Amino acid sequence: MSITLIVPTVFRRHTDDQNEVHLEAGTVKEALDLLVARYPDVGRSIYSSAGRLRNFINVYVNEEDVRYADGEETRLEDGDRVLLVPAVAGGSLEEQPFSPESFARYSRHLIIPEVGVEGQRRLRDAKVLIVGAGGLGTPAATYLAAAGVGKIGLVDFDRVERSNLHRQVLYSEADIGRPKVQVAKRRLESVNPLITIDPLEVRLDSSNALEVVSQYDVVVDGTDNFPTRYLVNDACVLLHRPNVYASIFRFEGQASVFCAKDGPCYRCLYPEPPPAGVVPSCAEGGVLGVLPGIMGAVQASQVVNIILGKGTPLIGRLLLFDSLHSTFETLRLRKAPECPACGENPTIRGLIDYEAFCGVEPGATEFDISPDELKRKLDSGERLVLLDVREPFEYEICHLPGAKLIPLGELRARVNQLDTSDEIVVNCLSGVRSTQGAALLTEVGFRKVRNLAGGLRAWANDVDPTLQIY
Amino acid sequence: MGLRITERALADSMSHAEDVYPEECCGLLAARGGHVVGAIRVVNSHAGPKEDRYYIDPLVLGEEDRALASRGLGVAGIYHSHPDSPAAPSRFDLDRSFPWYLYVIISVVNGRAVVARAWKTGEGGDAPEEMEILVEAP
Repeated sequence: MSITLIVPTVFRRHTDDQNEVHLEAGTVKEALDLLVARYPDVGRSIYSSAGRLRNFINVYVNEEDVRYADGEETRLEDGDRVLLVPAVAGGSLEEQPFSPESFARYSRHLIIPEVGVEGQRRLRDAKVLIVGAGGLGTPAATYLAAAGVGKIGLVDFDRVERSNLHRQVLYSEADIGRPKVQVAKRRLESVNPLITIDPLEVRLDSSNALEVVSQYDVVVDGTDNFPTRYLVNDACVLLHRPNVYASIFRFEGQASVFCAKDGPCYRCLYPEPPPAGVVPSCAEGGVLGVLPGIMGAVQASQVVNIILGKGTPLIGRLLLFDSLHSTFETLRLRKAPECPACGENPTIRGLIDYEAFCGVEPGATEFDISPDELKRKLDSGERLVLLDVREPFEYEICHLPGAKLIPLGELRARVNQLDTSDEIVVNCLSGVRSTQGAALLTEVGFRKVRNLAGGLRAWANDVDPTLQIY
Repeated sequence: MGLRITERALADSMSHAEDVYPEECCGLLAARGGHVVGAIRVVNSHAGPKEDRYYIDPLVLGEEDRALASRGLGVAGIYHSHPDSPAAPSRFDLDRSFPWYLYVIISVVNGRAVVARAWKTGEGGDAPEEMEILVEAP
């Protein structure tokens, strides 16, 4: 194959003042061998004393990095242009020497050829942002902290609740009511005192996301809602940060790496969010406790791959795990040329209002009735029909006195069991399904429909703490 | 041993350092016959915070290098800035240095480029040696 090998101009003195060398070679390795045979001084520059291509020398074939093809075995075709070019980097940040304690702590990493001291140093110098210190974020943070990622930012404004504990194993009974990120910082720094945890007790939104994300090299998406997921995606696209994504529902998890160079982003896969309330959250639909442990650990392993620059991260692939049927699958994902965030003509050039984009209107809607208002109406003897749209097994755990049960999935078929002249207050556990139920009733002609805002959880919180909440 | 550089090339690199402060700037030293005659700005492509790290996309370097070659010039070295840090190579700079390039480091303090110093390193970043900067007209 007749190919052209282009060397940096700084080598011209070794190559008879040529920076383009024409060769006959079938692979990258053959081309380099011929170059070195012809110009031994170039060989001394680009090969280490061990005879391997020096670190930080990149080889491209027609602008594609051979590391993402078959390395030095990458095959060449007639007319290919092979570019030999250094990856120049530096910076003022002084590297700290490795302490004896580090050698002991990371010894099982140091003896893996793909990690070694150089890889461990990369982990130490890396800054990883984890959005959400919940089911996904806490296992990801635990393994990344233990692995020696030097700086981990944890974003969450929630406090530990008892219902977190079946899956968020970083927290314990004694932590209930305390801010998650503060508890997590203490626990993670005791797992590994050589690293730093930045507790970011804020709600990530369009006003602060770019500033927060820009401080880190890689982002882990451990969010449980669509507005934040799109926000994290768009911030990562705008700032060129890899977005290590996972999501979970009941027994199924998925994971991918978005926003990597040349890879798709979350919007390539899901250009638009589902209508508000259609896809239930874990709080609404439930999740197997062990599942986020697995998916969060998958995210941690992706972060490690990315930091080390080794292996094949889930760029352009979606990993699906089904814990009920014990299967792992991967699907190919394509970068969408028409993607509004990362496509050829992006329309998203800054962060937007993600609550509005996802159809989640903050604050009360005209449908909504607060637990306090409902309590006043009931106490004053107003005639109301309480409609519970959860499943029967949920109704068994708790319900409002006298509530009529019609699961949301059966509501359309059973609307004739309701009377349009009644004032109906729809409820569920957290207010998501009941919002849909109330909308459905309105759609079919009911006019006096209200939705119990925040569901039974809010009722238990504001009115009746004895209600058995789950 | 000295680094011969035109007054304009040096001034351009220093104003680049001020323009992107508090981030690090980076660029190429374009030379002809052993004299640096231009400072070519390159985007700092470091994936993380750029206040204390820089990275030059190899494809960008390759492209600039070929463009210079077509004009009879070449890349003799690299310049970058150290915001609020001394103009001396860090261990990271040395570990990532190539013995065939000259390195100019510009110290920027509170947004003002205060000093530029030139360095050359041995194999593996060993034995960094400071080079005198010899400013030439224009």
